[in-house]
Amino acid sequence: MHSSNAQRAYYKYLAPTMAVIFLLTVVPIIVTVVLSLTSLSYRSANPSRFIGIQNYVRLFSDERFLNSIPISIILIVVPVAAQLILGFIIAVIMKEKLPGMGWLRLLFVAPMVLPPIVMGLMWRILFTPQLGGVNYLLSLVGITGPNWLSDPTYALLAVIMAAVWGWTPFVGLMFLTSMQSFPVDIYEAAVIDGASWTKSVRYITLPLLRPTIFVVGVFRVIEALAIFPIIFILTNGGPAGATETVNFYGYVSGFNFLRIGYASAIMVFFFMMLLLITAPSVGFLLRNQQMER
Amino acid sequence: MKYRRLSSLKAIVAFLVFTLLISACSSPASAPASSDAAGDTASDAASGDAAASGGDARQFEGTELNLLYFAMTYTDGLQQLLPEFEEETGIKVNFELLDEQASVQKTQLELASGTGNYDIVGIQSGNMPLYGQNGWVTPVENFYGTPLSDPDALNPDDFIGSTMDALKYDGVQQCLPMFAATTILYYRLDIFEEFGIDGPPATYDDLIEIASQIDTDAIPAIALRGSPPSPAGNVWSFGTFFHGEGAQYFADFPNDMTPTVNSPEAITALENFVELLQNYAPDGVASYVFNDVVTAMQQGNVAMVIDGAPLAGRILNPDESKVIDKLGFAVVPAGAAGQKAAFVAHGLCIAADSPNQEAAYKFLEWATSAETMRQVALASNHLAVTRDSVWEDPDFIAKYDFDYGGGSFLTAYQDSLAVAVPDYFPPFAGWELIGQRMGQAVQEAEIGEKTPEEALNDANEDMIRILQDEGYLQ
Repeated sequence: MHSSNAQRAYYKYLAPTMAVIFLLTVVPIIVTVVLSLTSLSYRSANPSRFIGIQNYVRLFSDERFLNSIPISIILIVVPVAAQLILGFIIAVIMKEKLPGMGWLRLLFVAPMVLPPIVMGLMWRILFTPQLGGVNYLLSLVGITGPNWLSDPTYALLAVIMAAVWGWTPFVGLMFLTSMQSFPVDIYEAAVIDGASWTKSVRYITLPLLRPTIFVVGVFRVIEALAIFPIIFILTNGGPAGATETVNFYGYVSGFNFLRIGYASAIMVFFFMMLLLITAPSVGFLLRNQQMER
Repeated sequence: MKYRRLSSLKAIVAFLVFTLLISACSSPASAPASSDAAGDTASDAASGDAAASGGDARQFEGTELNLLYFAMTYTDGLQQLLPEFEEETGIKVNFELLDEQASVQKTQLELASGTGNYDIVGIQSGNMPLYGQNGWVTPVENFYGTPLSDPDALNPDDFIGSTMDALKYDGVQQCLPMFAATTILYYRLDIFEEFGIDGPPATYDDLIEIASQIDTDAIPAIALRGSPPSPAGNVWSFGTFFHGEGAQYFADFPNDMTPTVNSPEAITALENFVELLQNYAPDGVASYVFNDVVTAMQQGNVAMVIDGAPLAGRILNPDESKVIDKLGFAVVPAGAAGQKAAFVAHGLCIAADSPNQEAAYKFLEWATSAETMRQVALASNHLAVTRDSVWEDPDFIAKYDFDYGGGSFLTAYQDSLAVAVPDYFPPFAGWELIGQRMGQAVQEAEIGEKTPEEALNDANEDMIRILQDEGYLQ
């Protein structure tokens, strides 16, 4: 147990950080919650007033909002799963000492240095039916490419592809660094015992990597909503709402529609949704840490 | 042990919250723009003795004004002339020009939060009720007849009446117009000739008939704005079809605000619109914004477009155009209710929260004066002028009266203005909500997700709810 003196010192050191966090996050959250209970809208015929939970009730009869929930979930689950799988495969390959691997690694991390806005612009050009590279490549193998950004199904796929492309390198890099710390003797022992390369990946690399996969997975889920700029540039939530996530709809409601109260309610809902997804995994993460100690 | 666990949990939660806020709240649209606006606290030293010094040209010397709008032909030309104004008055003017959607959004946020960062803001007539109702702009009429005002430069009667009316709120002139737009039909004379078609389509049925004849893989028949799903996007293009059939957004605007966008007339209009886009337009037209439409025509990739008459300046820009000598111009086709063209005016306003009201007025007066407008038109591609005297100016006519054998452009433009619908977008503060919902319905039909009838029925239902929420409907 720590002495109470040490505890007091903790608080002292933490105070400046806590003050900043309070000002920049707690206060805005409280204001957002308060706003969500009002009818504030610059487009309304009536002045703003307190309306209780009416905005929240409205949410559940708003089809556009209801449509955005599954899309948010798809855009969290699918890209993150793909990033983890592809990241693992790439890390396993890059761990091998093959000729030219140094250059390959360098190329491979290139997407990490691009801001999401640039990624969005780049992919938008690639997906353009007449000039885009994607349909050209498809045409080389005899496939007539779809109208990526004006077809609801393909637009969602396009966003997923851009997200996978953008953040797989991060995942792969985390996996790779973790793998490089694995003791070499286990692998040597496996080779002596006659294990094939695939078997040593399956029975040594994968189990050793499991904690890293979990941590990286949690981080990716939390950050999956940083996909906002890509949606903004690539599809702007369209066509017909096919790529509109909950936070994007909140943004549109607030900044385009100027329905501040309603938009606040959407964002509070979004916040709850995110807590619901991340809280259990964070708890699990902490328990894991505890056990390791 | 317990204590440590708790504090790290707290730290992680705090981190989560922080990440969430950053990812959720940072709007990429405002990011690149903030540098100009942020640290500005231009002093307004001169305003105190303004009235006393009357017409002194340099009374606002040293004042810095910030203007916020989007890059358009008028701002292009104005920037070229700006050094003269700055030299004459000693006022410095910073232009912050974004893309259209971003500028509208940023303007509204700035004005709503009263930052005072901008002195002059641009406006589209459709937003006049919003700005007026919330008192975001200082009515320009407040300056009429003051010692500050130069009647020769102001000359309000020289403005085209409809453009002035579009920028009034409660009968008071709020802003001054500098851009008057309507839609016309541009068509390729050479392609029409090749297929033996002797003139522009008179009705929407003719339009579809002609489109089906001239459509080829190399040069599709028509391009229209399929996107974004908003008043500035597909609703702008669809509106000529909509009004042409005699459809209305409301039962009796503004007395009875019951939405009527699923009327038989509206459904017919959307069926025609969708038939053209799905069968006779370039691939991916559902994501065509106005720039794509302009480029398609300018580069000779399409046989017809219906879009803003002011865009002729760009479509026929000698440096870029591949269709000079090949275009005909006509008023939009007629529906059951006749020919109905779009109408929008853009103007400049003095922000109500600007600390430099009087200097801002001086700039506004200069920027919209007949002489400035004439020079802008001659120096740039800006032909959407809002002053009668400029329309009649010989140099203006010489520059812009394109005629390649299919009739005069300026005549088609003026004939279109004559049939333009003044309330093309119903003027009330809630319009954007209705317009965006309309855009969504149009897009759903464009991409075949819903039939025109289903799309409009769903939209009508949603609009009732929106209008009730915002207090326009019981």
